[in-house]
Amino acid sequence: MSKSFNGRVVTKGNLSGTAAVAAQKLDLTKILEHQALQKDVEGKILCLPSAAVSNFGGLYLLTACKTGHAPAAMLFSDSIDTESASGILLASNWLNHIIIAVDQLGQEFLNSVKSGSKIEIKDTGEVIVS
Amino acid sequence: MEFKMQLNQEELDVLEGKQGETLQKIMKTVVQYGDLYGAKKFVPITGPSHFATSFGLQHLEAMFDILDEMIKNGIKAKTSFTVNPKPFDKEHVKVTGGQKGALRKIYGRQSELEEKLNALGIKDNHAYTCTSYLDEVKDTPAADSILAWSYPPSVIYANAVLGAKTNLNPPLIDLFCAVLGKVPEYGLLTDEGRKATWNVVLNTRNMPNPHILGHAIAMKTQGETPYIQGVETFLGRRIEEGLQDALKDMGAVLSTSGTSLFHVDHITPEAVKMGKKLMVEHPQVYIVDDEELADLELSYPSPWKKKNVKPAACFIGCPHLTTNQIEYWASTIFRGLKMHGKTKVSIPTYLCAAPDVIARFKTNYNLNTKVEEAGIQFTGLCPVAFMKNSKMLLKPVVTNSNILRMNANIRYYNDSELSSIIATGRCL
Repeated sequence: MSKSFNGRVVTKGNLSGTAAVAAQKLDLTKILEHQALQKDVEGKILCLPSAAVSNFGGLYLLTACKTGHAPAAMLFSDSIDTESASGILLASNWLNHIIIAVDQLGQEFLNSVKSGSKIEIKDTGEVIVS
Repeated sequence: MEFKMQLNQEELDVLEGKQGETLQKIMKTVVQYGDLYGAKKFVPITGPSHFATSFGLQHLEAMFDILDEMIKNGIKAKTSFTVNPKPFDKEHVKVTGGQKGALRKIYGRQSELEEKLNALGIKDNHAYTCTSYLDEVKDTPAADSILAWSYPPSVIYANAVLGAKTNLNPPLIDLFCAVLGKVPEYGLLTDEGRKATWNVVLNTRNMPNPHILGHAIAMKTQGETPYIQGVETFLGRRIEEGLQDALKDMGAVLSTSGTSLFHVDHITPEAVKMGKKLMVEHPQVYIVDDEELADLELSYPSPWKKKNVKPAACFIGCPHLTTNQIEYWASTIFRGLKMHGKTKVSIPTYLCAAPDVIARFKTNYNLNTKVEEAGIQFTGLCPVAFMKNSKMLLKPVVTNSNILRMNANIRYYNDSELSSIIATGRCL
C-alpha cells in the first residue's frame, strides 16, 4: 500500500525512482570518499533526516553533480541543512544540474521508506512511497 | 526567478544580470539560500571575512571551476579575508616519502588554491589560521559586527566571545556574501535567534578542562544554544588570557554538534548586557558535575591495540594556540622534562598556532631559545587535515585536543599526562 507525504519544495520537479535511505544524518563527503556509498546513491532518490555537520559536504555534493555521482533527488525528513542546501543551489545555478529536493517531510516518512522502495515526487512537494 | 527576500534596486539589478552573468549567479545563489532559511532582506557585512576553504582537496573540483570563473571576471571579496590553516607544512613538519605521496593524493591542488585565494583578495601570507580573531592577526571583529563566516569553531567564538553576529555559512556562500558585501538576515543575525534554549549550570569543584566540558555540553544541547552559569567562580569575569583560552577551546568542541553560539553568565558580551533574559522562558536544564566529566574523559577510546606505545608525534593546538597558551605549554613541557631528568622532548612535539601568534611569541627571545633548545617545534598547519592523510593515521599520535581526537582518531591525554609522554616518549 502506498503512503503519501507532503513537504516543502526546495527544488521543484517531478520524478519517479528508487529510494536509497540513510536513517541517520549523512556526511555528504562520504559520497565521493566511499565507492560503495557512491554506488548506492548515484541516480537514486536519497532519503535522509538531513546531512551531518561537515565543512565541505556541500562542495563534495557539487563535485558529485559534475562527475555524475550525485543522487537524482534528495528527500529530507527534517529541515534541509545548510551543506545540502548549498550543494543543491550551487549545482543548479553553476552547473545547470538539478537535484530535485523536498524537506520537512517528517519522521513518519523516514520510518516508511526503505532502500529499494519506489518513490514518486510531485512538483507540489507531495511524495508517494510504495 | 521567484524569490521572497525583499531586494533593493541595486540588488535587483545584480540579480537581473546587469553587472554580468557571474555576479548574477552569485546573487541568485545567495538569494535562494536566504529564502530557504526565512531571510527577509540583506544586511551589510560590517566586519572582516574568514573562510573555511583552505584545503586544496582534489574532490573540490567543481569549486575550482567556480573560483576560476570569478577570477576570470575580476570578481573579488569586497575586503581582504583570512582562511583556515593549510593542511601541511613542508618546512616545519617533516614527512616521509610515503606520507608526502598520500598528502599529494588528497591535497594535490593546494598551490593552485593558494594562487586563487591570492587573486580573490586574501589578506597576506600569514592569513592561514583558525584563530583569525586573535589580536596578533589584526583582524578581530568588533562586538555587534555582522559577518558571514563558515568555520564552526571560529563562528562560535565570534558569536559568543566577541559578541559579533554570524550564522554558520557553508563554503562558497561565505565567499559570495563577501563579494556582495552583504548577507541574508536570519537565525543568529536576529535577536530572537540568539536566545539560549539550555540552562547549563557548573556544579564542579574546579574549572573543568574546557575540551571535556565543551564535549559534555555538546552531547546534551545537540546544536542548540546554552547559557552557562558558574564559570566566573573559577576564572573571573574579564575575558583575557586564561578565560579567553578556555572559552576558545570549549567553544570549538561545542561547535562539533552544530552549536554556533553560547552565552556565559557575567562574562560574554551579551550575557553581561542582558543576563538571564537571554534564555527562553522554560529552557532545558543541565547540571554538570565532576563525576560525569571524569566518566566522559575515561570513555575516550585508545585507537591502539598495544600498550606502552611510543607515539610518533604530539600535536597541541587545535584550535590554534594563543600566545598565552604557547607560554603555558612551554612551561608545562619544561616541568615534565625536569621531572623525568630530560632536557629535550622525546617525541616530535608540535605547537600549532597562527603564523602571527608564533611570530609574536618568538619576540620573547629567552623563552623562545629555551623552547628551541628543548626541541619543541612550531607549525601553522591544521592538525586535523594533516592527520586525515591516511598514512599519518597509521602512526600513533597524541594530543590534548578533543576536537582533534574526534576528527582524526588519535589518542587524547590531559595536560599533565601529555607532558610526561612528551618527556619520556612512552604512553601511559
